[in-house]
Amino acid sequence: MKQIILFFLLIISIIRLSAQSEEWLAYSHLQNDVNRALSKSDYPKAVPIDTLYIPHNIGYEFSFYSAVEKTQVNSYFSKDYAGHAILHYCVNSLYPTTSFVLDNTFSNYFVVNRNKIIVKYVNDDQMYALDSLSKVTKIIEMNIGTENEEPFMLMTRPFAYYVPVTQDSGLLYARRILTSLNDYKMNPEHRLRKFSKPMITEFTFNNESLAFHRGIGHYPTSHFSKDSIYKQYWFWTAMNKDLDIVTAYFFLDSLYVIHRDNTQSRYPLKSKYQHHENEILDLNELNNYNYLEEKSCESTSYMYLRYDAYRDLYYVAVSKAMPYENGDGTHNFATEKPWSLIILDSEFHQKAEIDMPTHLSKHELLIIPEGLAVKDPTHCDNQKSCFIIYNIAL
Amino acid sequence: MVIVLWIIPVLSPDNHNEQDSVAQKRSAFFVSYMKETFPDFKLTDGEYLFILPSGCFKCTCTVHDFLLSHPETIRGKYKAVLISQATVKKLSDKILTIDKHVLCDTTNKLDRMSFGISGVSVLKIKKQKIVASKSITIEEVKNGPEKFFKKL
Repeated sequence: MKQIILFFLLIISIIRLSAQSEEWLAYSHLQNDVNRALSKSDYPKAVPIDTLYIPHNIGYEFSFYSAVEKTQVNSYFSKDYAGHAILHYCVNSLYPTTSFVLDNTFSNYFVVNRNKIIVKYVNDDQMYALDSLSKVTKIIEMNIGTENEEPFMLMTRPFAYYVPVTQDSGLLYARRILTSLNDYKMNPEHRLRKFSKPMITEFTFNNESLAFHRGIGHYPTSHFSKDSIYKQYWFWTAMNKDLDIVTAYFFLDSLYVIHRDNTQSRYPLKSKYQHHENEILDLNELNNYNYLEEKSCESTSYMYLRYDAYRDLYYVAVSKAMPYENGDGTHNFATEKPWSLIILDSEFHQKAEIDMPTHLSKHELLIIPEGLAVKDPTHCDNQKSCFIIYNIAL
Repeated sequence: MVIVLWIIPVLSPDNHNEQDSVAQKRSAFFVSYMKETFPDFKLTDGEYLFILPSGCFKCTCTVHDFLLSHPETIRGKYKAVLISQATVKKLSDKILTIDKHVLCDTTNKLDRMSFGISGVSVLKIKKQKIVASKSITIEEVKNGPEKFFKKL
């Protein structure tokens, strides 16, 4: 009897081992890499050193390395009394170097430099060049291209996770997406077509016209799988001083780096709070808000990749998993998830993961010479926005 | 060995039992929530309308505007219309006037209660138990929300 039981257990073990996918093994490998990196004693520390107030109620914050300015730029929006959207462009500061007046925050735009912005309002073939006083100085012809007569749409809206607004001389980067594949979440064939296109589009710009130049970067293979998690389609971008474009995904524990020669590398990114792979979402439940809220609460997600040009570091906010149900009849909201900050060095080695105070917002991370500026919504109102400055000491 | 293999599925709770226990739990939450938050309100059989900030908030705003212009759609149909003060702040305090049975939760606990509903929703109560529920969908909002307010 004992021998039979042992034989049975052996068979089960063999079946379980063979069932572990390649992805699972890769996952374990990534985890080991990260653990090794975290075992080093040279952790950076994040120490709050100052509190700064911006005299506006701001939103859509973004911080990036500008190859034109050759330094860090912060940008954010506020509204004027007439309801116009004001885009503030801040070189080496939290405070505006230039402020451009746009029709609304959803306009597609490229900031060419501190004195010039090109904006697309309605017409698909034209953009408007505005000077630092927001006066139209030129109409720019736009040709973002088609493929098999299928039109593309330009996506440079001011949501940080879409916009590599960073540019170097004559080249601008943005997303262009096929307008016809809106059902890609549910339609595997459309998903394959959509994600077979390059992730990012390079445009040439010469003061007269903006034109499609080439597509760069490719999506991770997980985007094509039948059971892919739809939220992993979102990605954040950051351009570094070498003009590599780094991307991070909501639910993927890797960073992807697109180099200038259009080769792509992958680096491990793993929160110490992620103890298991996130559950795959049931695509039939995508309109069930309770289900989505629950899964969102219970998943670890990676958000808001930022490149810090002063310190040559990368930051990724980690939204930690927490239970949805409290057991006393109440539930939590995904927006209240606690968070931490992963810091990676210039070689994409994970150097530390720092727990951040829950009352600070993971959604608004700006970078200034003194350190990382994190929004404190508890001290913001209609007149001002409050940021706590963290010194990141290596 | 065979006996062990037979026992495992027998001991595992099936989906049906799980659903029953969730429904029971939610009913208990609802009854105790109402008692605690609105001690003067007597919970009776019938339908209860909820306006919650969770789910598709754009849909909730559309339904809110619809109800302000067509209050007769819901007037007298529900035992109570439940909304939190936080949601009133996001929408408008005019929503408090659409029906005499509007109950405003000043503790805002309503928005956190786990009843398995989101946005604009209805719970049907019978003998202190939730016997049916529905939440408005994007399609229903697009097609005109009035059909949603028919009896469950």
